[in-house]
Amino acid sequence: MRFNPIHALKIFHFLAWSIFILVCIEAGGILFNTIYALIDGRNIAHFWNNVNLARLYSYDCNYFYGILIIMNIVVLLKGFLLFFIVKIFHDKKLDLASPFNERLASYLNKLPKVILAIGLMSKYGEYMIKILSRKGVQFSSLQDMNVDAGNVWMLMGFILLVISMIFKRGMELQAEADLTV
Amino acid sequence: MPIVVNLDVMMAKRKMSLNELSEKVGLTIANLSILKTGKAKAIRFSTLEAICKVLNCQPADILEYIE
Repeated sequence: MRFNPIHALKIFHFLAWSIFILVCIEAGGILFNTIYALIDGRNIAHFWNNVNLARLYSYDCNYFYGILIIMNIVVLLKGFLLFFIVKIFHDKKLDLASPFNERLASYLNKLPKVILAIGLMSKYGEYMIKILSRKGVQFSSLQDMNVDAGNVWMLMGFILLVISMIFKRGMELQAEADLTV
Repeated sequence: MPIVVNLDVMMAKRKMSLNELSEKVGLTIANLSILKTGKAKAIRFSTLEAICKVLNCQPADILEYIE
């Protein structure tokens, strides 16, 4: 079976949309639960994904707000990242005939920054949770709290940063080739 | 840019239009236009050879260096 890049792009477009919708649902859930927890507080023991933050709240409410902020920032950044990816496909900037265009380069310039921000916030959240765990506060898993895999996000961000530099050079070479008669 | 392309001068001397030159050289009008207007970053020897052959001139008649 011959690999057809156009069909592959359509599949990736569909996957990007699917993941974007899932991340939006998660972001909405966490945001709603955050607002409800701040207003009422009855859902603290059964936060999004059944995460129990009651012990953290009773230990220190400042740490509670801090962890909530981190969780929200991470999930919003993930939503932002997926939005960018969907936009690349939607704006039809992935033209295989002439892939090295400025619009795509600007997207590729922004993506690693968002990914690195997700990685850094996740690592910070993980660090905070570890410190609080040592002080006796019990937590659900990092995955449930949406602050896991900080290392993976940061590695992906650095790799994409290198790729965006190579892409920028590719763009310069293409511009030169276009102006070579 | 220090390198000036005098293609339009040679075309006028040989009384050749851009369309005609494009057909004979085998370059698109767009590319010839890029060359003529001085926007080209580089020119292949094969292109230079074809232009000189069609216009019956030397490369120095097409390309000029100005400081």
